[in-house]
Amino acid sequence: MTFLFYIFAALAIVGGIGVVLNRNPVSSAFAMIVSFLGLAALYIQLDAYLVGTLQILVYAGAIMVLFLFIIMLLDIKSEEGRQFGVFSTAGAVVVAGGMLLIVAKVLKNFEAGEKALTPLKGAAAETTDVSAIGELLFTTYWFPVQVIGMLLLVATVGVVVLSKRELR
Amino acid sequence: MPAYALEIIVFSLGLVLLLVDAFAKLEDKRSLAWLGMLGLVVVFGLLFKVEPRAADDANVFWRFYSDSRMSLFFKGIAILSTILVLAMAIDYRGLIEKFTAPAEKKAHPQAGLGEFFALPVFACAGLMCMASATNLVSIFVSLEAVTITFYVMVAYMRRNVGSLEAGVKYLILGALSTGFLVYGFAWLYGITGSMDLAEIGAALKSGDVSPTAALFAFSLILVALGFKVGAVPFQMWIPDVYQGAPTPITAFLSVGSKAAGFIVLLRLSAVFLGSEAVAGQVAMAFAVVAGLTLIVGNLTAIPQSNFKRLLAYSSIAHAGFLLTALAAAPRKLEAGQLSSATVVAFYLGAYLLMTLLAFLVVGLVRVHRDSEEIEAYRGLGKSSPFLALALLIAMASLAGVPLTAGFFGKFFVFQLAIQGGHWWLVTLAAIGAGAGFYYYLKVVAAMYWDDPTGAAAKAAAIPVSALTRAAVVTLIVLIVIAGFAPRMILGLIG
Amino acid sequence: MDTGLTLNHFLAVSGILFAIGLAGVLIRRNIIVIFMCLELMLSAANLTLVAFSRFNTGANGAPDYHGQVLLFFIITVAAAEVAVGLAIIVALFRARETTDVTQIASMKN
Repeated sequence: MTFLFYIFAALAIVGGIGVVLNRNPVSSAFAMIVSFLGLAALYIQLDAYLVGTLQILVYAGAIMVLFLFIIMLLDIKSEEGRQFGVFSTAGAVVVAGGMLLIVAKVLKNFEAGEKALTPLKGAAAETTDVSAIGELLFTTYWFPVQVIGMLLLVATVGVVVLSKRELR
Repeated sequence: MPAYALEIIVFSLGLVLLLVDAFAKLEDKRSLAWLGMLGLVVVFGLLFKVEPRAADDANVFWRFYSDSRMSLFFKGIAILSTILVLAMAIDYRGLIEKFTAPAEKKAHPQAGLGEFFALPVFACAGLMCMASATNLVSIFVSLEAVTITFYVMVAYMRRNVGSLEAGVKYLILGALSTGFLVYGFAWLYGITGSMDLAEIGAALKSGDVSPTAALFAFSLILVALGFKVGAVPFQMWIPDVYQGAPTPITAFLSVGSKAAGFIVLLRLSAVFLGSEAVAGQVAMAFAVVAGLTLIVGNLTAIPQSNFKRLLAYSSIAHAGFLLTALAAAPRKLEAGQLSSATVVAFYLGAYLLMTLLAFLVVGLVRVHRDSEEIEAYRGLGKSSPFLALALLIAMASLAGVPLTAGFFGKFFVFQLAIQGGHWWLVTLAAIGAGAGFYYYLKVVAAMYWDDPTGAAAKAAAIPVSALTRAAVVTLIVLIVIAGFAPRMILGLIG
Repeated sequence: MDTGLTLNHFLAVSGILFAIGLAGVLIRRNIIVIFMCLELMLSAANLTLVAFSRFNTGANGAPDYHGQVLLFFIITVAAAEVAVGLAIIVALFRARETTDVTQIASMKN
């Protein structure tokens, strides 16, 4: 268990670094898929099977394919010249480093975080997360589901409006 | 009628507009905007007919939705601004047609116009949901529904590079803000074990929660909402996006999206301010952000020569005043004292009136003079005295001249800050208000006095349609009423 | 069985990924890569949510599924956001033939 955690965590993080450092957008996109697979494995280690599957289907599948499709459609080449500006790199290092320091400090003082991961037992191991989440979605959370429906409608209309045939 | 019926009506109205546009083969699509405005006016009237939730109504829905007076007031702001945005969109349609018309010769020249009238209605439904959201999940989905609608509307003129660049900027910053918001919500949920704001507040109050983690969650949320309301140092996207977006959408962005950001900020800050362990630091964070926003917003507005950019910086400056009200939130309300939520609501109401009035004129001048520079307003006092008068009143109110709505907005903020003893914030706000007089009156000076040759005064008068005239007159009357009798508006807030 | 893993392990991975995404947003110049980094930040935040949902156990020891429901909504929103975002980026590319953010400066005064 522990061993697997470190492998998948490393996969997620190395993939993330790959997205940032690769010159070629296609390589970045593939690094992103690696990172998402690592994350999905971590979700499954946390007994979130449905969410882990969705992560692979929706993120690694649909969203990343869309990214790759657009990169190919626009025929984007690797970046040329100096990859990173001095100022933006310095700024990024300061901001991201600061963010890491803050997270480290918060986690150090976070006693609830010492809770150990123990396997689910008894009734908890019996419930399947698909039925539990499904039931919550369509009973307690019916209102946000309706709003999400509107959001998807607007997004569809918006994409159609923005990508009508172009003047030549 | 229960409060949620209003959202249902507005959403259905949006659907009707889309369907009519798709199937009715309208010759002149302006009728869509008329239909939208008519529907929204009816909904605005129904706002006064809302019955409070029945005491025995135990539907789980009410854990996501509040029908308090405050929420209704913010719904009113959303509806009113959408009506005026549609009115502006009618005047602005020429430019939209120019940048969206389809390539085919025999295609309808207004083919790209229908959605431009329907999308604001959907945004309005989202804003209304946000005004009532009392649960992290409903806040998140309604906020995102509004944000995604705005992405589309900002980039709507898809053959105009300025509009598309504004769209991309707004997209990147909006997505960044979403990332921070989700991370903050995840922490807030994690440490309190609940998505419900009331339960989260109780958990934070009980003191079982790690204060460092609570402050971390608060900072992430503050960063996210700072982007939405345009607080310094997260304001950098505002001038470019405001300048590039179609003018009616800029107006919507500066009023609707800002009001929605503030109601979410109000709800969440109340949760954190209720906890003894973190209240001090939270108020301090608000004070620092408010101070920075006041200084940067007001001082960077001074050298602007483009009127739309000037209004963008002015919107940052007003965010500074609103944040000051949040920073000065009294711990314990004394009798007769206004709560900071009331002050924020009043300020936003006043801000709505004066900003939309200014943008109505900006849109007309953009269409007929083809410019947004302050120079284009030279001699407007002679050539179009009606529009000049409207702009004069809008500027006076934005600057905070007595007997206008803007004056009482600022007055209540100062009152709150002085009662709380936040003297350095009072000083910064006074400097900001002083700077405001300079840059707002610069426009007035251009309209009435800055015309040495007299040539600008002879320019053709800008035609004003009956609808726009009615909108302008209504806004002027409301600004003056709120300036004489602020208690009337305060009564509506409850 | 003691796995030796704690909640903090997962939160730390999530924090590191979030910081990586943030760094990417600040250094990269290609809009599409920046947009990918933003999705990375969102995913990092999702890991925090799932981890808390697993450790905030309910009465019978089962995970608190409310957190995972929020994640469900986040994934939906992310997909919609990517669709709209890429449509805007494609429209801009057609108009300008660039995806380099440093080229988007025509509005600066």
